[in-house]
Amino acid sequence: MRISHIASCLLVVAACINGSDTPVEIPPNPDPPPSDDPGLPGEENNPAGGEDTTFDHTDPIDPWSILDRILVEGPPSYSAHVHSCMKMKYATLGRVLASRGVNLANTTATSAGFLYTNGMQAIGTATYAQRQAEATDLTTAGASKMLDIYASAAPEIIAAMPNRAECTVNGAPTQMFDAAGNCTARGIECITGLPTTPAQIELCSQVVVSASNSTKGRNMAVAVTMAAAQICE
Amino acid sequence: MTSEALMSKRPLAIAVAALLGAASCTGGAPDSSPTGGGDDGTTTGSDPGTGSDTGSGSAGSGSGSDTGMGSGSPDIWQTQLNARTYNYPAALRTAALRLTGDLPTVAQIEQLANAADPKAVYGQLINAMLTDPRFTRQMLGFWRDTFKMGGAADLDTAPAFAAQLTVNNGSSDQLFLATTGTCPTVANDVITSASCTNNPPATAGVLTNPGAMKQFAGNLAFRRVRWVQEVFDCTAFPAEVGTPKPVGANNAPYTAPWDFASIAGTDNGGRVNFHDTSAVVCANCHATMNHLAPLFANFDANGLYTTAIAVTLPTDGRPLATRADWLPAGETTAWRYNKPATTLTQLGQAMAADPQVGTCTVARVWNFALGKGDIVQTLSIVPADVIQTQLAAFDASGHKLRDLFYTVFTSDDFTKY
Repeated sequence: MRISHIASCLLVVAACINGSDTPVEIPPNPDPPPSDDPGLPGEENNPAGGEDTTFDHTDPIDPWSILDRILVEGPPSYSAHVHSCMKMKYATLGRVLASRGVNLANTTATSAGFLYTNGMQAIGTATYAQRQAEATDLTTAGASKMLDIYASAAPEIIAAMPNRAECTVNGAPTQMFDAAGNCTARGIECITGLPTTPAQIELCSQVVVSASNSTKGRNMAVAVTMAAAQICE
Repeated sequence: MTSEALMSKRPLAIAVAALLGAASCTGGAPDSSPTGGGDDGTTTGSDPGTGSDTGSGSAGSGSGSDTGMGSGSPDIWQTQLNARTYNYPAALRTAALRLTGDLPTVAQIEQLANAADPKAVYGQLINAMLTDPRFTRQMLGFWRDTFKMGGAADLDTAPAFAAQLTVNNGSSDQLFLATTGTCPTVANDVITSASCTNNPPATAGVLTNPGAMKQFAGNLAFRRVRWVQEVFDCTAFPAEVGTPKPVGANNAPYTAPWDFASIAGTDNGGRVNFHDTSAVVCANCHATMNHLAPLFANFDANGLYTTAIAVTLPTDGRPLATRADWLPAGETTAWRYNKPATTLTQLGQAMAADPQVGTCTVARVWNFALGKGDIVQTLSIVPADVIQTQLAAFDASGHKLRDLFYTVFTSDDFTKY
C-alpha cells in the first residue's frame, strides 16, 4: 500500500518536472486539431504530450537520486543539522596544494601541477555558461584524481614544508619526518589542518616503513594522509 | 489517491514526502553514522554534549512503520544528534576551507588546541577569517555558485555586489533595494564599486543587474522569474499554493490563490494558453510567474533595458511578447497574491519585506557552511526549526550578512561532530 503510494507520487513528480522553463516550440496555432499533432497515443491535444505541442520544462531534479541520498543521510530534520562530506572545491584544492609548496604551473606530464591543471573536469568545476554551480558531490573519478595529485605532490610538499609559513610555529620550521624517519605531529597538522593524535603518527610512520624504500614510503605516507583528510572539505 | 489529487500539492513537496516515506519504509539507515565530519578521529572539543539548540522536535517524524517493515524508532535520529560533541579543531578546519579557501595554519591549530577556552578562541579565529582579505574571494565564489553566474566581467557584477555587501556586513535587503553601486568590478579578487549602465528606469539591487538579465534571458522572461524565485525564495515553482479549486472541462485542481482568469490564456487575449488543464494545470505555476514576468520583459538578451518589451514568444517566428501574453487587461504585476508590484523597485521592496526571503538567505548560508548542495536543485531542505536561532539573530541585525556567517559558523550544529 505504502510502496504503491510512493510509486504514484514519484510518477506524478516525474511527470510534473519533466520539462523546462524554456518553451522551445509550439505550433503557430496554439490549439491545433488533433490530426495536425497527434502526440503520443492517448495524449491528443495534451500540451505535455507530443513534441510539437509541448513546452519543454526540463528540471535537473531526479527523485531517485534524492531517495538514495535520504537513505544514506537520513531525513532533513536530521541531515540539516550535520556536516556533509562535500567535495573539496577545485580552487580550494589548488590553494591548499600551493600553500603547501606545490608548483601549480609545472607542465611536466606527471607533476602535481599538471595533474591539477588538467584534472578540472574529473574533479568538477562550475559551468556558469550552463547556469550550473560547482557540484558538491564527490565522484569516484574526482576522488581518484585527487589521490593521484596528492601522490605526485608529496615530494614537493615534503621538501617545501620547512620553508612554509603556514607550517611554522613561533619561528620554528616544521619537518614532515623526524631523524628516525617517523612522521611528526606538526607535519601531519600541516597537511591535514587538524590536531594530530598518537595513532595517526603511528599509522603514518607505518606507511613509511611498509614501502620498498624510504622515499616511496614517505611520499605515500603524505599522499594517503592528505587524501584521507582532504578529499572531503 | 488519484493523480489529480496528488497534483493539487506542490510537486516537489510531494516528492520529499514520498521519499521520506520510502526511507522510513525501508528502514533507511537509522544506525548509519552521520555523514561527514570527524574524519580525523579526534573529539577534542570541550564541554561535550552541552549544546541545546540542536534538538528538533520533528526529528524522526515519519519514521517507523505501520506495516511492520520499518526497523527504526522515531528517536533514532535525535539520539544521533544528541551523541555529537563539540569538536572545535574540526570546525576550524572546515571553516578555514570555506571562509579563506585554505587550511588553517599549524599555529592556529595549536593555538586552539592549547586554549583554556576553546569556544572563545574559536570565535576569535572565525572573526579573523571574516575580516581576512581571502574572505572576499570566498564570498565571490559563494555568490557565483548561488547566482549560477560569473567568471566573465559582465556576469560577475551581481555576485560581486553580493560579495561586497557580505564583506562589508551590509544588509541582504540591499540585494533588492540598492539604487547605486550595484555593478562592482572584480580584479584579482578585489572588488571596486561601480554602478550599472544598462539604463533601467530605477536600479533595484540585483533585480536590474545586466549580467543576471543576460544570463537568464529567455522566452517570456520566465527564466529570469525562475532565477529570482529559486535563488531568493529557495523553492521551485509553484510558489503559492492554496485550497484546490476545480477548473477546466476536466475539473482539474487549481491551487494558486489568484483568480484563474487573472492570467492570460487563449480565451482572454493571450497567445499561449496558460489556462490549459488537459495534462497539468499550467496556471498552478504560471499564476505567480505571469504576474512577475512582465517586470523583467524590457531587458533584452544582453541585459540592457529597453523602452519596449524585448522578450519573445516561443512560437514560430519568435514574435515579441506583449503584455496581453502574460496578463489580461487591468491586471497588475505582483510579487505574490495581494502583494502588488508595478515596478522593479516595488518588487524589491516586497521581496525585502518578505520573511521567506530572509529565511532563504539564512538557509543558503547554512547549507554552504555544512557542505550541502543547492537548496533547490538538490532539495537540501533546511527545516525552519533547525535555523531558528540564526534566523532570529539575522532578523534582529537588520539582515547583516557577515554577522550571519559568524552566527552560522559558530553555531552548535557547525561545531559539533
